[in-house]
Amino acid sequence: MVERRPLWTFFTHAVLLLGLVVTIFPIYVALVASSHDTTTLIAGVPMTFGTHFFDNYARVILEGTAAPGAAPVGPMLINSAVMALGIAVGKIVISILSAFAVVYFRFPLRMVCFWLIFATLMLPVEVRILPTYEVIADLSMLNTHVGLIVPLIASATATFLFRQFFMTVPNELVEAARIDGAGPLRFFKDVLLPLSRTNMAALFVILFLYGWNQYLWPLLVTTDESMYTIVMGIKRMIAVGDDVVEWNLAMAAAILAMLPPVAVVVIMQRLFVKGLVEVEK
Amino acid sequence: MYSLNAYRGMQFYGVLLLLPAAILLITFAYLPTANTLINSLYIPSFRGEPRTFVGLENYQDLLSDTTFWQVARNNFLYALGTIPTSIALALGMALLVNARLPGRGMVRMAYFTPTILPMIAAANIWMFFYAPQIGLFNKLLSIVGISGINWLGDPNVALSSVIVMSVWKEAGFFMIFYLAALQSMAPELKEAADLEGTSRWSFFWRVTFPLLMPTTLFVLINALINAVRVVDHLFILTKGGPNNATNLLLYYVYENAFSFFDRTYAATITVVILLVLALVATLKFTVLDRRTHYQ
Repeated sequence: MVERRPLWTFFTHAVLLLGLVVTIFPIYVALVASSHDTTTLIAGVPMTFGTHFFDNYARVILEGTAAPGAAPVGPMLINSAVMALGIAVGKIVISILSAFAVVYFRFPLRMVCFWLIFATLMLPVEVRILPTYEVIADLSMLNTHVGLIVPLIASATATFLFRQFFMTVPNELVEAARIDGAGPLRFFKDVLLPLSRTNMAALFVILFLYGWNQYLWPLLVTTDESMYTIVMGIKRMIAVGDDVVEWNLAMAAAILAMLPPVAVVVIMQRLFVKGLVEVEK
Repeated sequence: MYSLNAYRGMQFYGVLLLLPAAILLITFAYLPTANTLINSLYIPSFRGEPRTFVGLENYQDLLSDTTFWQVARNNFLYALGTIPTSIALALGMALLVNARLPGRGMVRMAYFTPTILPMIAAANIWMFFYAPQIGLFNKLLSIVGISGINWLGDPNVALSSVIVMSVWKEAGFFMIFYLAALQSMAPELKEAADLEGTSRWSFFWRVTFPLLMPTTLFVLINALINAVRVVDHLFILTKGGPNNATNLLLYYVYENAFSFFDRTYAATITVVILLVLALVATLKFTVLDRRTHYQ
């Protein structure tokens, strides 16, 4: 009865399409722009594809733009991948261990540790970026992958989510494991880890996007061209002062910067949405 | 609450497991934060002389800094412009793509794409829309005879332009959380409502919306934090201009530290941002902890 309302169906489909246009059109524009030469784009973006698609991508990956300091983006893609994977994996490992400790063990100063961890929820890296930079400089970790990755791992969000999840694991499982003679590490490996699979997947996707899309942090920590990330590369391509911006190449770089995160989301889509339901609780 | 302590006898294990996180947090979160607090009480060194302790003078300067107040006001308007719109759009999109329709997976993916795109890349693309001469918006407007809106250069319009772009970028991210919550809702609810002939409208307001309340709060907190945390797009779109019309708190910190080389003043503004975040965190722990009765 409620389902058969052609006007309603028409309305929702129209809104849906409008939404599609709004979300996808800018990306279409970028794709089109990346297929023209620089001079065509000075007059504005045409609405149809040009003939320089493959030239542009080959140039941007292997050679970079003419602007000084705008290096080829091939190595930058690798740096970004290392950074994003390092952050995602590192943070998941460290967080799941500390959540395990906080929920299942009792030791002196446990509550102090607990609050020390969770107080960092309100200290996002971006905000304390300047003093964190000074720490990294003192440890002479500028221009290293470790310097790019480690400070971004230091926050409690993931620990908090794992803790919330562990609290929902029934007590009987712990008891059963103990009666069967399983020690804490065995229980962690055989019970908690398999149970946390979807959570880890959802966190992996979110953290990978987070790491991949960083701009300010790599901007501060790297001065050596061989350590630049792709997001920095895009910015450098359009910061050319009075020269003509090579928009076609900048757009090709933007599209390239989007592909790995899209791949991660597509591959993990099912686990991702399922995991979010639990992450949020 | 802590009835789960199965491994009482093994203190050593627990401490060991916590060690990596503890070292990281102390080195990269607490030390820097403490440094910020200390720095905010000094003025920077000048010609090699040691820095001078000035107590709360930086904070007094801050109170009389008109740019700071403008930036704070901008940030407030930015939050007000982005958060309710993103959340409403996210919920709308989630409801749309949760329904049965052809190519549902593709549509979901499409709605999520702006989120996947790095902020810098997104801002870059939007330059094609906003650019005064060649921008698509002005080209479209010239068809209907309106000309020459300077989307990013006019102080009255620039902040709104930045807001629109941010909403475009952020709504898809929140949609995913709503979608996940909608999928975990029991289908029996809808069936029961259909049997009773409940209209869509009242089903949404009386069943769906209240059940989504925990998600809405979660999203709201994240949106609040993002409103002070994310400033990447300013580097491309406006650089805080024209005349600070789009400058946001964190960007102002960055300007003070790296353009004006006044790191202690930057530290002072950072402390203010941290206070704002502490306020948000208090909200999180008081309101979010009370939401449990929904589940």
